[in-house]
Amino acid sequence: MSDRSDDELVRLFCGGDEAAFNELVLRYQEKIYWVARRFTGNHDQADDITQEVFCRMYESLAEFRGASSLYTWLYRIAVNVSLNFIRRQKVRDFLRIDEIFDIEAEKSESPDSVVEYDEQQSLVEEAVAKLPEKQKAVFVMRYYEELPYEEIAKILKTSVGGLKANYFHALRKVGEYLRRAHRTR
Amino acid sequence: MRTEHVSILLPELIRGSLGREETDRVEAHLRSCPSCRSEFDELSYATSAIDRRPLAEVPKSYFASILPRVHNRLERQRDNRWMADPLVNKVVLPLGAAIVVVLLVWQLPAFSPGYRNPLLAVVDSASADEIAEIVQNDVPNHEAGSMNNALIAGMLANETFVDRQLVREALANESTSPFNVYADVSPQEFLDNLGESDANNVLLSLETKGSL
Repeated sequence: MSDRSDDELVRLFCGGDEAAFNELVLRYQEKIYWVARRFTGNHDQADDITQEVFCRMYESLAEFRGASSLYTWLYRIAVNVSLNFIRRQKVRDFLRIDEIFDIEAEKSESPDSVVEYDEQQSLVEEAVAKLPEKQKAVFVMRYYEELPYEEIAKILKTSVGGLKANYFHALRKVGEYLRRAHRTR
Repeated sequence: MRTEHVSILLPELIRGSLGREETDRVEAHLRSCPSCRSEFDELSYATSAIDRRPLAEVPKSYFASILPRVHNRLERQRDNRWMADPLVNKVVLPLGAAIVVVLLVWQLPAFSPGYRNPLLAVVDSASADEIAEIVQNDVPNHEAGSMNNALIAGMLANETFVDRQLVREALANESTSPFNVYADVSPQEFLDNLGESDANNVLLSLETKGSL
């Protein structure tokens, strides 16, 4: 990987250099994967979200004006895609569409699952997965990404005061889940 | 300081992100408030439990597979781009769906130009007595609106009422007929009220008797 700056790679890509796009993907894929993974607590879903984020980057990189760092811009896309994914998943679970169309079976045959591993959801991922959507979003962004509340408020379009309360409740619930699991396992 | 104000500051106290002054205030409150102290202990436990737990592991080889799959997905999205075209979405697809629905409906017997209600065949080929007898014998428990079986049988048995042409027209036009004068029930309504299985019984019996 070269040591060219993000801005330079964006400029090159906008000038038609596809290799610059590849370099940006390789630079940020791991970070974006982990953002998605923390939101979903699931490898396949995080993988899907990661690909989608970079597809969106490809489509709209020309609109990136550099008002924030490229990673912040990508991070926001990742949060939005993750939250949309979680919402859709909730509807899908409610309607049990996966069962009707046997989506899981189809997935296992798709080339997307070329890299498989014995995935085990960690206990913390289990606990985070059970949080309500907003608490989950704040928890991931504050605990793991250490974003300031003001930044989270901008991404989630909400007030800082409400976020602090959400974070407090999220942390307490995750703690309770881990304590219960510790007693029973 | 009120308890709820301290509560939401506790996660920040634990991660050390409060300013000096605020830290002092919250710590002073904790020394005098057992409920907030216990809350603080809970959150401290949560933080250390999360940090202690191992993160899920992903093999490095996985990350090498992302880029080619992003390109595959982009290619697929380019192939399917026509679907996102507003002209396709808002005009072509709805229009196509409407045409398919019309064609499907056209195939239904009742909407086909050559369709003929099978009950007309009964009216055409059976005598009123035969129909009355069958209704009485084969549909004994049938209830047609306010009419009882005897009345139906009586109406059908009476040649004055069973004017085939009138029944045929009533069936075709779904209009009222002289039946209504006597029983407030049109032939169509009467035949509808027979229900599919009863009507089939009538047809079957007529068939058996060689009337059809």
